Amino acid sequence: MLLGVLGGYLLRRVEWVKRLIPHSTTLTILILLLIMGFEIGGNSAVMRNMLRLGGEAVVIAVAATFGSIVAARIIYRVAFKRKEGRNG
Amino acid sequence: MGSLLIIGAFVVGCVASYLGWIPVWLIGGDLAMWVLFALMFQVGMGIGSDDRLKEIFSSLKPRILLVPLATIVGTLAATALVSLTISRWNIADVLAIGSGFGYYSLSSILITSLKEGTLGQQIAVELGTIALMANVFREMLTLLFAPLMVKYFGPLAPICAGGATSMDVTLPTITRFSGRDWVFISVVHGVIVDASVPFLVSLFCSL
Repeated sequence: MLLGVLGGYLLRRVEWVKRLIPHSTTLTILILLLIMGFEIGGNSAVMRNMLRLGGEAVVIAVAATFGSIVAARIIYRVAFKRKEGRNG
Repeated sequence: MGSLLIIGAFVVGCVASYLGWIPVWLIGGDLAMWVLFALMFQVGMGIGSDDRLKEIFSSLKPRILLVPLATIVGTLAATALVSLTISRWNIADVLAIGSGFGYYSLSSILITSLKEGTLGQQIAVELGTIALMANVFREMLTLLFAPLMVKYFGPLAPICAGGATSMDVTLPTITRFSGRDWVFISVVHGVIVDASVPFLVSLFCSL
């Protein structure tokens, strides 16, 4: 990835590279998720455990989201409230 | 649209493999690893060639950096706490999932590949599956509850809840409920949190 950062930085003036990257990244993610689907679908133990895994995912998602909004409220009160929108 | 396509690819993969249409050599081989390398290279290219990053760093008021910091600290603190209730996984595993910050495609793939060596394929796939679902849920929670978040936690709440998606998928919702004044902060926040995902996920996977 660091190689990519360097490559991207050096090639940042090349327009077509910049236009291509988001699309090729999405395509690669698509292919990888397809492969991940293969792995999960072909894995009967994971399929059997799907409900439990989903439950754990819900717990983690709710915690992560809640933690963020609590932190957001603290930051807002401390650093933003009186200067609202000035940085627009 | 993009996220529908991505979820679609995943579901098609699941179903095809479940029905036994996929040859064994495609599964759990080096193929995923090489495609992952290609992906990481492109993610790096994206970060390196992104003019916004440079622009952001030159025009940035330190106060704005507090917002992605709040997202990262808030998420990690809460996921660390909740990991105590999930005895099957240790804190680092759950933190790796939390560090997806809604970027479900990259985080789930990274976790599955990086954990394969230490946990074995079976468990690594389970952890990656949780990461995928947890981060999709995070995005959905943000889209669904943005108005309530703004009401009770202020205009920054849906930005932090959106995590890495606050610059694209959840941006329209954030604009609508937090207000136009927060669009710039939302995009800056998304770019920074997005860039932190590969680093934090790898970090927690290596612990």
